[in-house]
Amino acid sequence: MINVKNFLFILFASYFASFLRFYVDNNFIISIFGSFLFGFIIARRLGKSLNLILLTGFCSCFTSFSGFILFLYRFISEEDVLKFILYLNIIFISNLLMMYFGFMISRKII
Amino acid sequence: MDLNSIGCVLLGSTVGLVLRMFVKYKFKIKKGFYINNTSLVNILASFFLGILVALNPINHNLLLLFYVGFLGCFSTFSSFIYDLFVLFKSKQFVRLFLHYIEVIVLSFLFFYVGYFLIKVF
Repeated sequence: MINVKNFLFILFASYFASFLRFYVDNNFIISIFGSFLFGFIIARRLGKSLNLILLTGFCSCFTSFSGFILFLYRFISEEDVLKFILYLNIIFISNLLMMYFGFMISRKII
Repeated sequence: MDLNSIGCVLLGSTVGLVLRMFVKYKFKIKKGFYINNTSLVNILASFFLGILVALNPINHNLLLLFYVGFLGCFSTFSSFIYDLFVLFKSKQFVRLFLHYIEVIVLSFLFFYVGYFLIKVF
């Protein structure tokens, strides 16, 4: 549940995620890694507050939808529709598979 | 990275995080094929991104505050993939595809609404 202590932990997790995202600065690697971690964590059935810290705090702040939209916007502004559709689908499929992969690995370890 | 820029990132991410948690836990939304709170957050973030791209700020700290801090923490790509993953696991492939299309279309629609709102006025 969200109390003051948990909220502080979520805040620190999000700060850490923000700086990590700033230093990696590659939207594709970030989203792939974030999806893998998300899949890995949801399969482990951790407690509710730990889930909140890791998923809402770290993973959600680490991956960024606006970075994804900005990446695709560059192709639209260059009027490169083919590349736009190609990258859109590649990112979507690779992320979904990566999350599934993380989920499966986490199940196998237990 | 000096102290000023670090402060900008911290401030932006705090506001983004609190706003996202507010939207995520205070509303109950179920529209369209699978539009929920996560999609709402992402669509709103696209709207703000459109405004930011149209303004095109040169100041580095302003970019850190709004793009890296606020928008990065406000929008969430992994929760979007998780929504798709839930549909994928329950083998609702048609619904997965429709949800994917509706989120992408709405995001770009709102991106351009924000973009032209600044460009026109």
